[in-house]
Amino acid sequence: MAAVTLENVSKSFGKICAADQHNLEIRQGEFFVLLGPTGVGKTTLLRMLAGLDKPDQGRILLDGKDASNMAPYERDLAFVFQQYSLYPHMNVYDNLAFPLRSPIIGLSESTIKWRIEKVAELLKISHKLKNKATALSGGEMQRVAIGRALVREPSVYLMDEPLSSLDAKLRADLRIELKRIHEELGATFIYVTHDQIEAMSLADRIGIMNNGKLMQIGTPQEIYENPNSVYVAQRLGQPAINLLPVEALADQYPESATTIGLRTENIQLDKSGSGAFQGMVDWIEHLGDQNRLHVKLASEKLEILASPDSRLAAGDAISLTLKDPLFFNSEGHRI
Amino acid sequence: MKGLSTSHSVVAPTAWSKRFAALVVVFYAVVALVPIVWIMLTGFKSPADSISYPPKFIPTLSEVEEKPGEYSPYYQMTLEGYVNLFTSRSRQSKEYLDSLPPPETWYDELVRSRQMVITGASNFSQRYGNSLIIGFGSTFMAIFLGTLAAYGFSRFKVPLKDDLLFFILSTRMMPPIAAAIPIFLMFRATGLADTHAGMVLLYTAVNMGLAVWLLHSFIDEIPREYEEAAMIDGYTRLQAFIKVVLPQATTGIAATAMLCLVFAWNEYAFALLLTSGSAQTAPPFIPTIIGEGGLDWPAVGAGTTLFLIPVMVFTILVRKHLLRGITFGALRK
Repeated sequence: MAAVTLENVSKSFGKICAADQHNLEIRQGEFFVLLGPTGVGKTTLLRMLAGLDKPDQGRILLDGKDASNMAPYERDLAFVFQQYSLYPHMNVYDNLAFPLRSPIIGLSESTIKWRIEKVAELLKISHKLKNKATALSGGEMQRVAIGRALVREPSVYLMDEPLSSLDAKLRADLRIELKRIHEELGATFIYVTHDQIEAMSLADRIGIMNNGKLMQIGTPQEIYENPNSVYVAQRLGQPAINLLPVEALADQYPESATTIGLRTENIQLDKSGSGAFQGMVDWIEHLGDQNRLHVKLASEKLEILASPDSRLAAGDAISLTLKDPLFFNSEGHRI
Repeated sequence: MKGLSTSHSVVAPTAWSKRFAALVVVFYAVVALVPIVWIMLTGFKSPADSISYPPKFIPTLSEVEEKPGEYSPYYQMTLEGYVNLFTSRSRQSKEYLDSLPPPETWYDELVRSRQMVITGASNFSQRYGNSLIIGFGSTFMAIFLGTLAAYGFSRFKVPLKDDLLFFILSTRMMPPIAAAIPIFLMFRATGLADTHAGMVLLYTAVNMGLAVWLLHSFIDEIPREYEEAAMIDGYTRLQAFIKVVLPQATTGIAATAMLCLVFAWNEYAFALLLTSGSAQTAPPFIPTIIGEGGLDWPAVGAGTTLFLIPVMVFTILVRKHLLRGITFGALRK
């Protein structure tokens, strides 16, 4: 049975459509990531699942039961907010104990203590339990916030960009930690982010969002290899996919195509000049493990990754051969 | 070179500017405290000392020798003012006083030395009790209703919210006493005149504007995420309000309660107009002591001193909550 089902869920704030006819099924135990830039309705979707916002239309089913009239506290889910939102008047222990002391759960103090110690150990915050919530570093606060979700042991975890306010090192550490926790618990995670690396590394499935619409849903691999539109293709891959008018690469192309999308793996570089298209290396970013080539091709520019031992220099003439490029029509749809 | 500092800050105050600031503060405090200290000292004077000129202002416990034509700033402290404040007395002839059995208590003796006997307790303690009931009662009501109203305005879509808030503010745009006559007529018609309930209602109504606006801005500063987190953590909205919002609003509540109490406690005009007996508060009562057998300044001083105490104690109790900055920091903006 699906853990979470959305049926035609819509929601708008004034003229802004935050959710447009969402239809989605999230399986039990799945790690589902919603990916998209700021303001496309990712958070609204989470808030509707949590019961903090009511959909204008449609139904949300949790574990097969209609949740339309359930208050947030009846839904058996935990929410990690983008901002830490630890209760500032409590210490870390009381913050973690807060959901367990609620009238809905109401565990005994000894059970609470045992659960908190277990979670604190997992998140490496055992030595901070007596601290005031306000006397923690950013990373510690975020771990406590995640911990407060974990102690509940709910069936669904909702996470709204929980790592976005952390520095890169900590973000990478906690990302791995989250993946491990998910595998250990086997619970359903619904995770919102605008970071494609987080999405790619964590997700079982990704939903790409734009203007309140779910543009494409699939495994990270499917979405990367088979984007259904220019918008989706632009969301994944670094450097971002190169989009050129088809005429620039006058080869064979489908009739309605107007744009061609090229990632590094769609291009074969050749110094000898035997390729189909002739270009020139404009300049090179040396990133250590790889080089980022900025290539000039007639009046267009391309960004391509190359291995550092390709020994190319700025000004070198190169030729390109295309391998299974992506074609899009004038509306941005994939052909 | 002498006097050259390697870590010179342009914003940190120097030792001299700190000393100067302290001097200004101390000077101001002394000036502001003079009337209060004077009235407290007056409470311990005898009626004669209280009106002597040039004034006597240094209290001693020992007897002060009076030399004619020579000024001394010393006076002997006495509790006569306090005795007069709490009792009513009547003047008697020497023959009658001599016929009485010897005085039983120190205050009987004190009163008889002035050719008087105590005939009963004065109304002061009852008026003081009225002040406590009405002052703290109306403060509690204003805070209770004000917090709920402010929370509602802050968190829910209230139709005509801005107009309602402006209406509430507009109740403070003229001095409340400007509405004295309609209020007087209303109180007379409804039987609220000279009742505790009436005065609590009136002071609550006057304080509501202040309470709603102050608390509204305090609660607006508490991020909604806290309640939303609590509501997902298994609490209803009311429980989240009590467990998460209220503890963080203590600062605002303490500050607002202070201001409401000071208004209700010190209010004179309405109390004079609307109370005369069973619900009369201390402010209109204290000046009436003057009328009893001459100007009884020591009793007035004693009454005023006692009247200051509750507000002082309350201020000291909530002082630590008045310092802000408890809620900030756990939520990054």
